[in-house]
Amino acid sequence: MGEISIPQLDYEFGLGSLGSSLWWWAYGLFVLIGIVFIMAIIYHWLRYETNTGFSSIVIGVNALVIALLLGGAAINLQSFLTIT
Amino acid sequence: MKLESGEEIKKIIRKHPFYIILEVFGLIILAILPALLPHAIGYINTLIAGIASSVRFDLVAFIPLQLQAFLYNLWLLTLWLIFVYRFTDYYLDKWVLTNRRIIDVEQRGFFIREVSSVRYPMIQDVTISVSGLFPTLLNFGTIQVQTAGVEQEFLLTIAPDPLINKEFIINLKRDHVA
Repeated sequence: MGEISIPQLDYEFGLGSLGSSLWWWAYGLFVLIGIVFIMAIIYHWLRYETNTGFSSIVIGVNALVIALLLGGAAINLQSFLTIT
Repeated sequence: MKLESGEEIKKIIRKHPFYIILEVFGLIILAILPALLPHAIGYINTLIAGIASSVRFDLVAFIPLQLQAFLYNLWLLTLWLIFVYRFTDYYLDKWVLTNRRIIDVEQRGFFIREVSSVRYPMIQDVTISVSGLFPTLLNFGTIQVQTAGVEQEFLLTIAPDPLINKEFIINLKRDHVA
């Protein structure tokens, strides 16, 4: 019996400038969703919640977390595209 | 939600935190799962090493670390957005008890919001039900307000302290009528 082997998975994730653009477009989609979410949260919490102190905390924390995660994603994507 | 002149908010009832804590727990598990993937692959490699030594899964060779980190960032962002969406739904969904009426605010996501109210003279009966292990242990259940109006009943599920809240509504009705 011959040796069992799996096909070599030879993916090229960077794919040059086209691939780079596609990654940034994918990232841009998340940025867009993040911005829409921040706006929706601001709208709902300022309009419907009477406790403005708590609303401010929710709006601030939400914007901060989204900014941190998107910032981290941008740094990691840039780093990935630099090495490919 | 606008209050009438002379109307005062006496109490706001939201669903029991158990509702949102359960969802947070699920989201935390989903957040941890991708971080466990390298360990799972290492375990699979150990298992298959005895069967086929030439076969070995290498996650880093397949997806570079930087790309993994990028995808994990987006995964966490997705989970965070789900959490904020659910929390908004939880927090803005409430019963407002005033000195004149009960206002039922039904928030469903970002785009559906229904506000209805019933005045105390219209209330015919208030019933509660607590069924199940967690509702009994954590003291939450369903409060049902039956009315004589077009909207026959008001229902708040996963309501905290059902008995205390029922008494509160009955007392408000009594005070209002008096």
